[in-house]
Amino acid sequence: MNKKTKKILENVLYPICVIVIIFLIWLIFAEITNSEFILPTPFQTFQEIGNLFSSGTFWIAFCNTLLRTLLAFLSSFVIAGLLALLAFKFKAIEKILSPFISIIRATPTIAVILLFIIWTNANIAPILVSTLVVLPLLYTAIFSSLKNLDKDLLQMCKIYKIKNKDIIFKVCIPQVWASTYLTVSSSLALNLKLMVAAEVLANTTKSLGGLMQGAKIYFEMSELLALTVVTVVLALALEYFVNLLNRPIRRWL
Amino acid sequence: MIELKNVKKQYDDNVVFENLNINFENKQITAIMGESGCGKTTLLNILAGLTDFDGTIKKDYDNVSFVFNDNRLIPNLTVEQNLKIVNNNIDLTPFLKFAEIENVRNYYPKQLSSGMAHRVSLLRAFIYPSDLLLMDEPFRNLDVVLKLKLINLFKNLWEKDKKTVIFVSHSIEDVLNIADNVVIIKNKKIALSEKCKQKNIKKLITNCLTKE
Repeated sequence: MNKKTKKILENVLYPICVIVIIFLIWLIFAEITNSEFILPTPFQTFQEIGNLFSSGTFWIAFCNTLLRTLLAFLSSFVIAGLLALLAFKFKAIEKILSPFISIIRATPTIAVILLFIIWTNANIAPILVSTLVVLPLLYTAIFSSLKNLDKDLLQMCKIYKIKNKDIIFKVCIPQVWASTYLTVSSSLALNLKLMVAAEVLANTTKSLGGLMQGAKIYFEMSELLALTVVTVVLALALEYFVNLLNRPIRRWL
Repeated sequence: MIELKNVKKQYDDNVVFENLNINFENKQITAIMGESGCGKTTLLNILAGLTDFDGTIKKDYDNVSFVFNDNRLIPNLTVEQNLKIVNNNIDLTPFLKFAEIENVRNYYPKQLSSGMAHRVSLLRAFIYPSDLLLMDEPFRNLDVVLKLKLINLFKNLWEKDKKTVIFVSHSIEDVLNIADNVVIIKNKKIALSEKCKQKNIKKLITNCLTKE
C-alpha cells in the first residue's frame, strides 16, 4: 500500500466506516425499541435536523450559543495566558496560583454551574462556567509549554543579541503554540459542551441548551437527538477549524 | 587581544578550573583541548558572557558569534530568516552563494541535511557583526567528507573576515588543520599553550593529553 492510499484510508475511509457503524447500531436499537418517543431512527432525526435548519429560532439559538462559546473560550485563553506568563516570570505567583488551579480543577462542573446560576443569571452563568472550567486546562498547557521553552535556543538568541520582540514573536510564541494547539482545539470543543450543559440547567432562552431543555420537557425525542447531533458536529467542526488554522498560524508566526 | 587573569570557575564546591591565565591574540584562531569535563565549554560560556566567574578578563569586543555543535537554528524560520534575524542590514545572496546554500534559502531547518544546517549555522556566525567567534566542537559527529567541506567553508569565510576565533575540539587533526594556537586545560589549569606552526606540535599535544 503506498503512502497516498494509506493517508486516504486513515483520513477518509476509516472515519466514514466508524460513522456508518454508529448509524447501523443506532438503527438497530431504534428498530428494537420501535418507539419514536424512546429512540427515533437516524432518518427521523435527520428529518428533524432539516426542520431545525429551516427555522429562524434555531439559527438564533445556534448563533447565540456559538458566540457565547467563542467569548468564553477567548476569555479563558487570555486569562490563562496572562496567568501562565505571570507564574512563569514570578515563582511566588506560581505558588499562589497552584492551589486555586487545583481547586477549580477538582470542583465538580455541575456544582460550578449551579452556583453561577444562583449567583448570576441564565445568560451570563454559562459563559462564566465555560470560562472557569476550561481555565485550568489552558493555564496548565501554556505554563508547561513556557517552562519547556528551548533553553538552548534562548541562549543562542542572547548571544546574538536578537531583539526581545523577535524572541517573543519568532521563538517563544511559535513554540508555545506548537505545544498547546492540541489542548486549544480540544478545549474549544469542551467549552461548547459545557456551554450547552450550563444552558440546559440554566434554561437559557434562545440557546441550543434552551432548545434541548424545551425538547426534553415536551418529550420531543427526535428534536433532542437532532440538537445533540448538531452540537456534536459543531464541536467537531470547532476542533477541526483550530487544527486547520494550525499550519497557517505556524507559518505566520 | 583578550586577556584572562586568574580566572576561576566553580560550581558549589566543585572547582572546574583556577588560575587560568591566557592571552588570545586578535585575528588568530585558538583551539582549546582537554578531557571531557575539564571546562572547555565553560570557558567559552565565560567568554560569551553566559556565566559568571572569578578573576578578570580584559577584552576589546562587544559582540560574540557562537557556533554550536547542535546548530540551534530557529525551527519555524527559513534559512534566510534565520540569518536575517542576526543581521538585517546585509545582502545575503553573496554569502548564500559562497556557502553553496542559495537553493535552500527558503527551506526550514527540518528540511535541511545535517551538512546544510551546519553551513547555515557557520554562515550566521560570520554575517553577525562580531569580533570574536566561539565554536563548541563545531565539527563533531560529522562524516569525513562533510567535515572537510565544512572546514573548508570555515577557512574561506575566515579569510574574508578575520575574526578572533576560539574553538573547542577533541581532534588533533582538526586543530592542526585550522588553529594558529593550541591551549590544553588539564587538572584545572593550563597544561599547554603553544603555537601550532612548529615541527613537534603533534607530539607535544599527544604527550600532554595522554600523560598522567
